[in-house]
Amino acid sequence: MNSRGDGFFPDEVILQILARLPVKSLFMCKTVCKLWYRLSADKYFVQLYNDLSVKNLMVLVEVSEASDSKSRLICVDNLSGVSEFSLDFLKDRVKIRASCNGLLCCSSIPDKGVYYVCNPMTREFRLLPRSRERPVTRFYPDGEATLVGLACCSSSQKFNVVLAGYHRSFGHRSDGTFICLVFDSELNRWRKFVSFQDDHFTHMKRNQVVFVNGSLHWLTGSSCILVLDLHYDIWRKMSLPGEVSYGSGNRIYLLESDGCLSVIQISDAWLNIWVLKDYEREEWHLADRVSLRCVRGLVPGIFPISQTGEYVFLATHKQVLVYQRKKRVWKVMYSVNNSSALPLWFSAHAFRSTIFSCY
Amino acid sequence: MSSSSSPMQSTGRKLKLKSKDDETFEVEEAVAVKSQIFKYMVEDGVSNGPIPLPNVNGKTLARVLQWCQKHADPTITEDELNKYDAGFIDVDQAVLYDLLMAANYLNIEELLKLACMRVADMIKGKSPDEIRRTFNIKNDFTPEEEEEVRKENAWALGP
Repeated sequence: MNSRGDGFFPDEVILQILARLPVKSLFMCKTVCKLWYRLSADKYFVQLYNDLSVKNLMVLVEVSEASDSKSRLICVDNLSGVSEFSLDFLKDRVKIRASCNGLLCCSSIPDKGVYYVCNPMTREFRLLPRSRERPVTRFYPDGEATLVGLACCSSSQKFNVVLAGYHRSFGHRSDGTFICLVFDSELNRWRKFVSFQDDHFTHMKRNQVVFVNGSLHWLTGSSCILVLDLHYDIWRKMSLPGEVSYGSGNRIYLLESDGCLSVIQISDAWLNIWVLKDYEREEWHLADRVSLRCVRGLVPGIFPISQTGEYVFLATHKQVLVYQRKKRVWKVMYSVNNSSALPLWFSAHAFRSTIFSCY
Repeated sequence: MSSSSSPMQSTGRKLKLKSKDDETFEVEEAVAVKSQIFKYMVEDGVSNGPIPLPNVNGKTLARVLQWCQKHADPTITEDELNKYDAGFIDVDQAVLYDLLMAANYLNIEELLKLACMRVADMIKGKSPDEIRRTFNIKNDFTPEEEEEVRKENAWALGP
């Protein structure tokens, strides 16, 4: 049956098999024989693995118990359910600030201004050099960046971290200057540029940053999308779909959907999913209209966290749910029993398991 | 994907295939084109006489064509198809190997993915030694090399 020396199958077949393994099993396979070791390190393979992972949606949630100050992380996976998740390998107490293509950007809780980029699946991490800005006097109001974004480009395996916020010189009031610090993983350096903005962001809007088409996107408080083009370091605005409007019970969230920008609009009875099909022409398309009748009781407190063309993950104060679009079925994936200090949606991030390297 | 002028509907035309052990099969074009190889042959009008398949034996070809037939059926629902696939791929290793090689050779993407997923499922949760035994793979690392690689991946290999 086996006439080849090391492998059983042609190389392409081995790659297709390895690309379907969870990360831990993949690493087991690296030690099986030289061929498998070599194939799994191949650049083409890394991209194949990461491309396949898009189909498997996950959500990372920070669960904090009311009783103690410690919080733990869980990962909710559509295929394999709920598992404990740890960032202990960073050897620091951190808060997840952004997630993109399998990498996380975390800020140190004890050390303000200290940021890590890590891949929690492979346990690789990179401590970012401090930007030369002195954060306490530069960012306003808390000395912390208002917006934190992570942009991971799967083809080049490079990433950028963006810290942006209003500027205030020491002793003065804020003057509307918006500082943007961008970390370049290839140059291992921060660069800075300044602009003038007048936008406000709620907690949820700050958390929901989407990286598509080489740009980072955030939803502002005033019905538009703020875009940071990382090729040219330019901020610009993009409109929401014409039919989407704020106010009177309409809540709006920015997510990704299979590599496209997506807006989810929640009213009392309906959840509308809009997808930006044509990025250049800014043409939005109503992909789905979901009746919220089954979950009516949860509607005021339900927040969409991540989605693919087939599933949407949502979080409430105490639960993580998944909605299967084809079957039109809702399922509770995770529940907390005790009243937690913070709602689950407060620190929930879209996630997928990749072998993206942060070196 | 193809923008050829001739439509892929059931023209009633059949393809003749010959396995490596000289078994012949007749299959409708609409079913055969699940394989990219046959799809290109049909498009280019190169399908007179039985097509020899020296890499696939009769038993495996029969199974593969059965799968193609099911997947070319427009009346079957997605749920039924998933159930069918689950049963289809639940076979012993030797058969699985033959299906995998045939799907690769004939370039039948969906079947290849199905078979690869099954093999991946067989690998999950196994130690490197167990994986080697299951697939009859020789460990060609020297003891020093193996130690290096183990150290590199220590966190995954666990205590």
